[in-house]
Amino acid sequence: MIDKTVQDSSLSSSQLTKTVLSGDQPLTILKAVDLDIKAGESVAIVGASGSGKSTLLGLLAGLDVASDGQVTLLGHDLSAKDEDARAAVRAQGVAFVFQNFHLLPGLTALENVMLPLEIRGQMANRDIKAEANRLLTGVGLGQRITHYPNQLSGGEQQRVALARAFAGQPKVLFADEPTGNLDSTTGAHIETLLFELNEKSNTTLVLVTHDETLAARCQRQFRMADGVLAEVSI
Amino acid sequence: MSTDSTSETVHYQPAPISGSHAVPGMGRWGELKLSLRLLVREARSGELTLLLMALVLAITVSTGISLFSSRLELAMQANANDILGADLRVRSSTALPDEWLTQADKLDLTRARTLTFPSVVLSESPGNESMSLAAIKAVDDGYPLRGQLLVTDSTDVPGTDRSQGPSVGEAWIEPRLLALLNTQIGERISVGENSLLISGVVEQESDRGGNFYNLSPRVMVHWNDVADSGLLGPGSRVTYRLLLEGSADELEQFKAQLNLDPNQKFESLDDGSRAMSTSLERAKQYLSLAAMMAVVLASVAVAISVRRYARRHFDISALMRTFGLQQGQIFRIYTWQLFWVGILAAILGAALAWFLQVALLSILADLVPDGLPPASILAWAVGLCSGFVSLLGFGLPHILPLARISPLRVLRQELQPVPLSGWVLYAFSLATLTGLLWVFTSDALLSLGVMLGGSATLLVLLGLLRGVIVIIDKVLRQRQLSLAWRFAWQHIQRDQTAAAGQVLAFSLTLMVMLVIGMLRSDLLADWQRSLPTDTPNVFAMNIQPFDRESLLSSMSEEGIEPEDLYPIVPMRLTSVNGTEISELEIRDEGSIDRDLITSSANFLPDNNEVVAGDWAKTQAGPNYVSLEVDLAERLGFKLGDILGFRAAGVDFTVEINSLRSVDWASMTPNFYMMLSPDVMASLPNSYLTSFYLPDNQDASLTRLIKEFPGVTFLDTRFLITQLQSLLQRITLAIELILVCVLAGALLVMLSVLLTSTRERLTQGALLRTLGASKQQIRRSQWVEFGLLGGLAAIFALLGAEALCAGLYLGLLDIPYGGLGWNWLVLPPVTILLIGGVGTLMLRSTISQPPLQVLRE
Repeated sequence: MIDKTVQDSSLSSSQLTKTVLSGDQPLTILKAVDLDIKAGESVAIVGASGSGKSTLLGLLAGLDVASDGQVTLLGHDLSAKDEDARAAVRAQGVAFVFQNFHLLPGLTALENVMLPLEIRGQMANRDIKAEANRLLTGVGLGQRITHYPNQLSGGEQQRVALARAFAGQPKVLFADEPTGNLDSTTGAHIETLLFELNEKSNTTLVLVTHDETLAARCQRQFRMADGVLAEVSI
Repeated sequence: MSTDSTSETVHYQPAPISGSHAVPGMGRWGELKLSLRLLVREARSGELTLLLMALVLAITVSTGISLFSSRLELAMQANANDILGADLRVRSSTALPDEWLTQADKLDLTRARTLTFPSVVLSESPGNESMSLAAIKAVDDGYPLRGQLLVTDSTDVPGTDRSQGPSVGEAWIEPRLLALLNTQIGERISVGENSLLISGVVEQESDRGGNFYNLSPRVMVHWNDVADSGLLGPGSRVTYRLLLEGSADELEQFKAQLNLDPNQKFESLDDGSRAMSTSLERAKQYLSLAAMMAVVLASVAVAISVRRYARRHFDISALMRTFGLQQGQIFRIYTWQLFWVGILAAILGAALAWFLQVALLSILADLVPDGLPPASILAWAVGLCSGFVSLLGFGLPHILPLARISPLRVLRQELQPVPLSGWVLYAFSLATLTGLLWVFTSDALLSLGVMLGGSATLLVLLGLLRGVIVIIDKVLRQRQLSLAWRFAWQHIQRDQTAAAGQVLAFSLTLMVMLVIGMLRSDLLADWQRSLPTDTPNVFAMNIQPFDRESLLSSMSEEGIEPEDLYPIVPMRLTSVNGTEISELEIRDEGSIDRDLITSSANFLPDNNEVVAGDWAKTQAGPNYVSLEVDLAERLGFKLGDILGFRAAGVDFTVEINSLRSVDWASMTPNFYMMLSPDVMASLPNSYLTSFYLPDNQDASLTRLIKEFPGVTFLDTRFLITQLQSLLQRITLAIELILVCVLAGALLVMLSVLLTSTRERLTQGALLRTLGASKQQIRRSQWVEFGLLGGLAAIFALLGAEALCAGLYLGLLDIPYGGLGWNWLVLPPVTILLIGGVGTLMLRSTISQPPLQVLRE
């Protein structure tokens, strides 16, 4: 049973807290984070290295478990679910883009993009291939679909990763420093592509970055400092 | 936007999360397909080649041995009646009583008689003095009853199944005897006093049972020719057999009516297979053990390869978790992948295994019955399954952590899955190997013992080798090493256990190969050389009292000086201290369940020593016996025990009153038992002696054989040649498997290397950016693998020297000359082999442009 308010809200957290043991001392990385992101919104979380923004991303995406508090993703209370159940939620429409691309080195660009579609297994093989081809053409790599990651430049690899992320049209896309490993020109190109794709598919975008210009292109911005999250009014 | 409308409608349906959390659309079938698809993609990168090779090796060896054993066993079981040549067979060392025959005829049983004995046969072709020891088998008109007797009249034509043996005056012989005698069909040979025409060549004789003389080629003759040949005197080593065919009832009746003497016995199917297989069974055991070594090494390579594969898939696995795959699904996908590799390996391994068993059987052709049936399905299954068992036992534990990886790893690279504890892994592997060995040997206790003992020994050796590495390390640290040596040693030093393990695998394999090579080529020759030149080399047996004087004078005419002449009588132990032997536990002891050739205690043979009791009393009698001390110990006999014997139909008892130690290697007549002369005098006896025949005096022996057809001359030179050829065949078969073991050791080394390739790539690239030449890096690699190879060779040589010295000096008491030229050849060959393979494997560390490496 998914009620109206929850459906509007694509992702929310309340009193989200993460405490780890550092040596013998408990160390609170996230302090009671409240967040509510509507469907289709683009949100940037900025902050210095070590401020806890990647930890927050992991918790919001259900990759990690909070010490306290709640995360609701696509209408499902993640804190009540075990890892496999959280994976099932991700399978419904969550995608990622990473700083270091995370392409499978043994697979071609095309195969990398096909992989999540194959895993979800809802399309015929032929259609999967066509879809992946279309997505790669969309990011400007239509001529390089048979190349392996090590034959592509960093920017090209991230474009493959973008195509992969948008394969299957996710409802929420988490991006962790998507331009962090790229030079500024290439980074800018990737940014443009990311926002274009986001707009077309009406995906909720949650972006972690320390790049202020990238953050500025999002509809909302949050700043993370010492585990405390605060919205920045634009 | 999407070209596929269904994808839109299906994709974005928010699926309710059910209890089973399954990813929609990705059922078990989907996992299976995905695993295959991913695997095919991975395979292109060569990632799985080594795993595949290791599995193929394990499967080839285990299936090959399994097929080999299965075919032998099937031949013995399925054709057991054919091997017996009858439904029922009775064996006797004395002539078959007439009443047996009448009895059989009365019951309307079909019957045949055979008698077998060893004898020397001579070529009668003019100018051809060739002779050979042969296994003579005389058959009557009823032979064969069942089974196949394939005989050809001409060597160009395939044999036909015969319903009768050779006619009177003719002989059928085995093909190899044609070669040994340098003769052909249509020529004549002498067997005893008879001149026989070679009228056929025996291609297959399914009831050819076996014993040591089986090694000698067959000569099949008619029953009547032997009765006339003068070959059979009292005391001859002849085995008579009555073969019967009929209904089970009649056979039971016949059995019930027969009263067997101790020297007579019903032969069962078991006897058939046991007889055939003493040397073959031994060969099979050695082959299985060698095969096990190969499987162990291949399994270690499997474990290392799968572990590496799993480690390289931590990221991918975490990524797939972000795509929504669950732990179970990841585990199943990777398990399926292992399974697919296993299937491919099974197909390749099965094909290679077929060739392997064909090779083994052709090497052992002379020992193996002809026309073996194909192997059972079970044998294929056992062999192929062992590959999967090794894959699962050694591979699966490394896949488990892959499923347990946290998806958070996509954000935090440092996250590692909790590996299984080392003990769990080792216990799992050890249990797997024990299980495999159990299947090979069908002996659980032995398998467990070998496995535990083996692992303990290996652990100790591994510890010692690590110690050696530590010592070398200390020595090297004090020296200024060149760059190549420093990097080479650093690689070896970094993982001492891995380095010690590799050296151990190579040196053990090479050591076994060295020892076996020694057995094959030098052992018998060295032993022969160690004997004084005039050591007797011919035994003359069955010398009847009436022939005695004329034989001695003929010998002295030929210039032959025989050793002492011993009166002998074959006798069988029937009771101990009044208890029938059949009621004693020792009844099945091979050493007493046969006729013992016994002599009289007229005098103490040269190389005998009285160790207990009173020899003088034994000599004086009456009714004493002297026993060989080892036999007495084995059977638990002591001075004062009363033994009952039957010889030539006479029962008598004697008291043990002395024990002797005997030098069996002296090549002079030696006896387990020696009777007081008074006992011997009451028994019909023949004589036995031995003499030295110089190589150029073969003609004398030929003349003696012709003059005394009743005397059996056993030329030990023939026996040694046969033994040599037997040893050569068995060791060759084992070496074939040892080559597989060596391949296993190489695979272990390669899989260890592969795990460090990445690090080596980076190091190589860094060194080259710092100005090191390709040459320098290549030299460093050669030094590293050369060191491994050199150490392995030296340990192998040391181990082999110790084992061979123990064998020569301890067991055989002959001078040991060392491994000699092996010390010159083995180290460079091993260094080249291991160095070559190692540097070839690492060639990418030199060939890849540094920039590309460092960017990856």
